[in-house]
Amino acid sequence: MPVKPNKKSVSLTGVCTAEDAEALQAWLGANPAGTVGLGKCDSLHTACLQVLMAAGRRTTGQPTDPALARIVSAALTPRA
Amino acid sequence: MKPLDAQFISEARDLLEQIGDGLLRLERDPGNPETVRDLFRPVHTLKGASGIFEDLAPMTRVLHAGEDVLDRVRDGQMALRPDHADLFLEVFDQILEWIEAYESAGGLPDGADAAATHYAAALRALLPADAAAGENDDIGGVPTAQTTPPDWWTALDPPDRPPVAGVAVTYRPAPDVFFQGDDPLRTVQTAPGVLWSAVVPVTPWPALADLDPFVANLEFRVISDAGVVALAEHFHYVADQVTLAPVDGPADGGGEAADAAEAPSSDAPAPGPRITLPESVHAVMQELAAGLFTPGADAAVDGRIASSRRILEGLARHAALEEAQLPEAVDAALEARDPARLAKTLTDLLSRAVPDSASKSGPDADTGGPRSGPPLPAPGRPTDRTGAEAVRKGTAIKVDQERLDGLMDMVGELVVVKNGLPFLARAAEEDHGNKRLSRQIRAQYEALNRVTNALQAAVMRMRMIPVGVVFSRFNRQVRDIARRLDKDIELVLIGEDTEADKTVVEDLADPLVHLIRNACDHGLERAEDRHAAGKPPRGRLTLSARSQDDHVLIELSDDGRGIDVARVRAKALERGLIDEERARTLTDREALNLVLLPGFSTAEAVSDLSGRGVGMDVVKAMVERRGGRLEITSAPGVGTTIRLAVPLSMALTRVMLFDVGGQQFGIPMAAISETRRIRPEEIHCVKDQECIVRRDRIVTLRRLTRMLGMPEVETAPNAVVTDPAVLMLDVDGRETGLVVDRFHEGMDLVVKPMEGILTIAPIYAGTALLGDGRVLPVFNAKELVRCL
Repeated sequence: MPVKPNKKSVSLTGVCTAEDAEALQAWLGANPAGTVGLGKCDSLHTACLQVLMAAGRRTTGQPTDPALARIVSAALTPRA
Repeated sequence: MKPLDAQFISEARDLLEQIGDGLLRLERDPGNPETVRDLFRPVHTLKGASGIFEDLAPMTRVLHAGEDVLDRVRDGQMALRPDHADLFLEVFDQILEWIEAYESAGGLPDGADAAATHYAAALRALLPADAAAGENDDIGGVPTAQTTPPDWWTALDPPDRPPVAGVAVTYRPAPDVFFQGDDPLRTVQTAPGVLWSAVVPVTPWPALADLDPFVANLEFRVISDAGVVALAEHFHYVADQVTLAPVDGPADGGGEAADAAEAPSSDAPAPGPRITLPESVHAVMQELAAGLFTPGADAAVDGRIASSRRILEGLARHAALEEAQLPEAVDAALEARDPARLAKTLTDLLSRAVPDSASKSGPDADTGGPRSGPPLPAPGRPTDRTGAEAVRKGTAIKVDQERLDGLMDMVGELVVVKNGLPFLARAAEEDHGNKRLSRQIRAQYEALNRVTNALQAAVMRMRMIPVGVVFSRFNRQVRDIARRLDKDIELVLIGEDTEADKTVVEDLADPLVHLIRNACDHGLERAEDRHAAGKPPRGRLTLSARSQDDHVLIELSDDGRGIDVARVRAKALERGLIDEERARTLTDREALNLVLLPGFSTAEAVSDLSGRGVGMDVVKAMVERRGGRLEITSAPGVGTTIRLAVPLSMALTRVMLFDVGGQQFGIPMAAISETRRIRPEEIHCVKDQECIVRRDRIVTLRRLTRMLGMPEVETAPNAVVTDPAVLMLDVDGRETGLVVDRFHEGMDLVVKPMEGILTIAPIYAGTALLGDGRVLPVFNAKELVRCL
């Protein structure tokens, strides 16, 4: 299971597919202060990215793929 | 010219080449759906790409019309007839001209608009009547192109604009895209040449609980320098959701623009401005960050941080790192004995960094202080993350040919310098009596020799291009000639992958054009004659290439009527090229070579293609100028084969050194068939001419000392009389023995042609500088033999 809940954070690991978006959404909904760890994420489906963007939570770490890391960090940065 | 233009022009050329090939194939095999598809795709891509260039609008119009026609052909609604192919070829010739005009003049020539209207109309006239109405159907498959920057880019205040120029991609996935199995993020992530990206929601996000993650609500904005064709191909499958447009970088070339690509994370330092790092520095930092995360024994922690610090100090000498407050981070990490903290600082820094391959060649990166730390990894090394990135950036780079030539010249000079070491070694031993130093110099020479050879081979390889580059254009030529001569000719190409130096390949083009024309005109018969001779009606021309040692062998053979040797003899006699005596004594092989003489032609009528008596001699001269050879074999009724052997590369010539009259000379190795010593009793005298018998043929011997009017070297009275040293030269199939005093080694030399007043001595091909500074005269074997 790529969505691994911890106490105060959820960690995305390996390949996160469209199916994982719902689990992520559910956890974030249940943990309003929870943060998301991306450091072990190898691949992220667009649906998961949408959840992350809509939730606007703090994230830690960077996906392992540099190209993905750049897009994700740009997407999650609030714009002026 | 903007990089975007340059990139497009080079891509357009490639596409046009594919289109040309496709048209010829389609003409031969009109019904083949695969051929139609192969042709359609580049036309389609080219149309899509040209759309973003405002100046090329007429060209885009013509391409659009062509695409419409091909689309019908593809759908089976119409078939392409040979006269259609003529129009298409004409159209794409025109487009190539336009591309060239765009490259040289930055715009289309006057009248392009009218020409475009004419061609577009002519193309559309091919469409079946019922289909013409639907000409504006969106065929899809190529993103929409617009000539102005996208709104989101214009809407950004200049300071917020990404400080990069390239193609802006706006990709708004359809809401139901996930149910079609697309993953837009993946598509963007793998897009080529991404310099900058942003993702924004199309409509504001609802509360998390109300969000339907499976309805796409995103717009991806990307700026890429990969070129419009590459991007059009990348977004091929989602083309209807993508718009491409050109954007310019900031006028000040700035790197000041604040950018929003920082990682928002808990304990990261305050977001700083985007920084540009040389690619190599970027790679090292990435490895370093990864290394710091590696679990290790506690005792090693301090050491690891300390080493990292040394590396970072080295890197800090390169641009842009000072501002990054690295020293503090290092100290903090050292204090906390927590390498992960340092690694975090590094990753944060990296997330703001743009690897900049351009600055790699800048003065900072190359000469900036001594390097501490490990050697910088080569860019593109196929390891972990950096590897993946490098691969995406493309493994081929285009380099100006002049730079390669410059590099080649330098390698040539290096070889000359290198060749100086053995002389130095000899001087150390003979003049200074220092054998040990001499040995050391020789050892050093060996090492230098190895490196130089490797360097030379590497540069040569860089300059190698496949002969197919030239071959492919012959398809078109043969087709045009065949139609003009009303013959049925098929050209078979073999070994197009064979590589040779770029200049060699390019110089081969003209001779081959002559040869192919000749073969089509004189060699291959008309269908009725072929039928009468019991041959298939379609004439076959085979052009093959392969490499052999350091030569590339090119063979052009036809299955035509062959060369009538008797007629060649008669013609040569008639034209006064040979006398009767010689006409009788010539072997058949020698007689065949008569067609290579200037002014020779057996064609009864001068056609507009060939037969004016220029041709073969020009071809031969060209091949020989390249240091190559040409050979003809022919069998009456079966066909003719012409073989060209050309050195793969011209930069260095392998030269054989020898002594004559106490002076050293050289002669290109290519002309030498053998070096040998002959026993005095082997020498026979015919009249007063010395000869030897070699393989049942009489070979005349010439003494070079006498020819050059040099003094005979006096042999010391008690010296052992050695057998004369003979260089066997093979020029135009005729062997001549050249008696010299002593052989020396063969050397790779840069032979420079004679200049100024010395050009009056054609027996010299030029001079080469030897390692000890002496100038070596190098003979031109052919002229030398002619003067004998």
